[in-house]
Amino acid sequence: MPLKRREFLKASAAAAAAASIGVNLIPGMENKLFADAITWHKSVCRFCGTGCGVMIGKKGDKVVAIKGDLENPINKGHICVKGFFLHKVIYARTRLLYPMIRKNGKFVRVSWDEALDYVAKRFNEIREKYGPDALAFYGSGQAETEETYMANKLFKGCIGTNNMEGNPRLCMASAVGGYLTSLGLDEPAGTYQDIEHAELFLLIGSNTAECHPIIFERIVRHKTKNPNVKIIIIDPRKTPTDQVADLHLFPKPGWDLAVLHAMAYVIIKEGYADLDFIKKHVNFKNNEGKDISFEEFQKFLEDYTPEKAEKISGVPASEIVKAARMFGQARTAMSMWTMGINQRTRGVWANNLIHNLHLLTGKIGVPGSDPFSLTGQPNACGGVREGGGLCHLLPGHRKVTNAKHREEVARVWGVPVSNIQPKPGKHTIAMFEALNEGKIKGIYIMCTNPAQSLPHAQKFWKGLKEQFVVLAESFYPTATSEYADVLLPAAFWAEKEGVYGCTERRSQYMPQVLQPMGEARWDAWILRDLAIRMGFKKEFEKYKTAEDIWNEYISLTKGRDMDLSGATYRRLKKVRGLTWPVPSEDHPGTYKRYVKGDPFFDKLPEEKKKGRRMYFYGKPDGKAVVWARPAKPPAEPTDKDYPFALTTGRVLEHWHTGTMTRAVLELERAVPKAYVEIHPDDAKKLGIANKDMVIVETRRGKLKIEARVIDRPEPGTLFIPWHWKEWLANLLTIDAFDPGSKEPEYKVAAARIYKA
Amino acid sequence: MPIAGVVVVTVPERTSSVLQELKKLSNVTTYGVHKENNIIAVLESDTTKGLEQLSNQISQAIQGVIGVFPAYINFEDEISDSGTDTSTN
Repeated sequence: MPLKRREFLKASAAAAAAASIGVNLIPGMENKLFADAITWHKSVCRFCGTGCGVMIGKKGDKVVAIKGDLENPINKGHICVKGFFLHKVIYARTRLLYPMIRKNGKFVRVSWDEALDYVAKRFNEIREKYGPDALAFYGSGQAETEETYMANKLFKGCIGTNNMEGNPRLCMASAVGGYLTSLGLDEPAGTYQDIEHAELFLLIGSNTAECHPIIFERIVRHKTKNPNVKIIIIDPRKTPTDQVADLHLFPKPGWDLAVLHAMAYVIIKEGYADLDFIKKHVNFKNNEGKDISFEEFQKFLEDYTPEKAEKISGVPASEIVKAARMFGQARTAMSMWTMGINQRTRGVWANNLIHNLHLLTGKIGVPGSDPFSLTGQPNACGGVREGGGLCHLLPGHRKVTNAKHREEVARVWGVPVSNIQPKPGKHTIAMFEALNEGKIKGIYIMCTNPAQSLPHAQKFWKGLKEQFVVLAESFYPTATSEYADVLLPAAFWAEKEGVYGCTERRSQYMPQVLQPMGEARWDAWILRDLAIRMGFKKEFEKYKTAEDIWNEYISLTKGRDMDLSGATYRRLKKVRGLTWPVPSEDHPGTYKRYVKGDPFFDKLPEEKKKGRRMYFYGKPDGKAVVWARPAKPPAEPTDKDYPFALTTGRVLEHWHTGTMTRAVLELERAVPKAYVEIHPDDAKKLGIANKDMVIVETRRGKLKIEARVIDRPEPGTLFIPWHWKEWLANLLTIDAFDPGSKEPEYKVAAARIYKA
Repeated sequence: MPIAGVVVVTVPERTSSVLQELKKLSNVTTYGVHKENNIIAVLESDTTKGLEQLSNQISQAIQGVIGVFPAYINFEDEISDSGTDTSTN
């Protein structure tokens, strides 16, 4: 590159970085950057659930640059280091480019017509011979809302099975259960705007610095400006998030419910409870759902004094008291959590206990106070939670068990209401067990990799091997493609338009910038064309554009708590997303739910709102629930045979099953293999040195893996990142799941470790 | 050669020392301290991976760095050099 051009680019890059913090470094330079041959397209990042706005820079027919979207209120021009590689993923050598059918054990390239005719024929044969429930769909929180909507209509509305699930079951279902049972409706009351008003952050079961770096940056920026802001971490493992923590509590994995109860105990005992808020806004219930009094709740908490909680959790009582006082004394508090809380057999209860702290102190419904669940995938909230992509849901936060909901959806879908079954289908673990048992004989998997991502993964390979598996994917090979009978190449990010809905109830539009690679097609059109071939022409031929699908979807949200009817494509193409409810095209979106300014609160009769600043309108009397849940242990506590608690998670360089990040050669070389973290004290006792090969074993399997001796995990805890199919952490994890949310307990398994 | 414009966010009391450390790195150009604890810098490398390694080096090896946040990444040479492999493995 000529030096002059390079100097220009450097100055432009510096100007863009400066602009992201509101500094005009070189007047006019940003404009010159825009005047270059690059054309810029507003989009949304493909990775986590934060929803950062990115600008895609295109020159000719290639993406050549990425920058943070300065106008996006979430990230205000910044992105995280994953942005370095967004373009590499598009152009990865592992892109799946042609439809393929397995013939005589080998994949053979075929035409789209042959592939779709074949799938339609096999699915119809299964449906006719064994009934609709012999078919299933398994989708993704990475799919666009329009894509999940089409699958929902095909499987629930036309084929007639509720066996429709998605990988958000594995990451956020407990958060859904927590919101529904505590506050009455799914998804947070607040938004990211609360960050800049919070005096205290409680980060529990979340490595925010590595997994949600832009949210972490906003927290750090706020704390830097306001030294009185405090951060408490509750997590069994030390992570980069610790660099800004004021207090870190290390509970034994799976034993933190007692800590949250003990915090509630101290909060009430020391007078930090907001008694007026409690009186007007809160009901108390025992674990069976029966009403109890505030006094009875306090009696329940006597089993969880800090001293008793110390014995249960391993966290010193004095630190629990300190955390409770910090929470109680702060004027405002924001809790954030993710998989460490959700991926548990008592994930819903753990969520409830976080909500309890906010409801007891009234730290909810005001700027800076909110129990705020963080999301792992970019459209788990939008496509799957709001779009109804799970076995018990229908679009618009509706339920299959509700006759009125079925009628409303059937009318819009143009199908007989009798097509939609009134009972939930099989949840994820039950679905893959049914494949093992041969009760489900055909499955369509879209944009996800269950052969690697399911807990106790090897248990479910039998069903994937024996039944008819269709895999729509952008990448090949994956762990799941090894079991597929048909591979359908799917268009990737930037090759399709659609909407992503992120953690803070914000729906954002993404344009198509590139033509799909090879013969790849948009998932929504693959589903449409398959549906037509299966005999549902009348129901599907009307969809000609992505906007057709979105318009139909948002018509179904009209009047619902997550009303998106004012978020038309026309509007979304201009703005940086809208936070629902947004009931009309002139509505600006909603910052806080259940309070003044929320259109549903505002239109409540005055007598209901009288004397109250919040009304939880998903509950019959508008009151949220403080739950007295017992502090149950994990499904598989440690014992003398398996004395370590194994936990799993991510590393910065890779994401999920590595389908995208391992396709980038540089990232693959940077962290080419998995390892197990073990505390130096434990390693010394067992004679394990750094980089020794060790065996990690649970009751389900064993894994030969390199040891990393490091003081990140507490003594007694092991950690393995789960991105590699060659060192498959999910051979070891347990498929026990939360009875409420059906989310598995990836975060705790009893294990032993010894030198290989 | 990929280029990234980044904001290096620092612990306020260490901003000056971080700036001095950044100035020692040959493939980093700094553009001053702004708004108390933000250093504007441009990272250069032969590959995208190099950019990422440089970013990790800054955040992990220099004391007082809270994070490195890219705002602009240009990799047009890399794209035009590599072309697209259309094989299906």
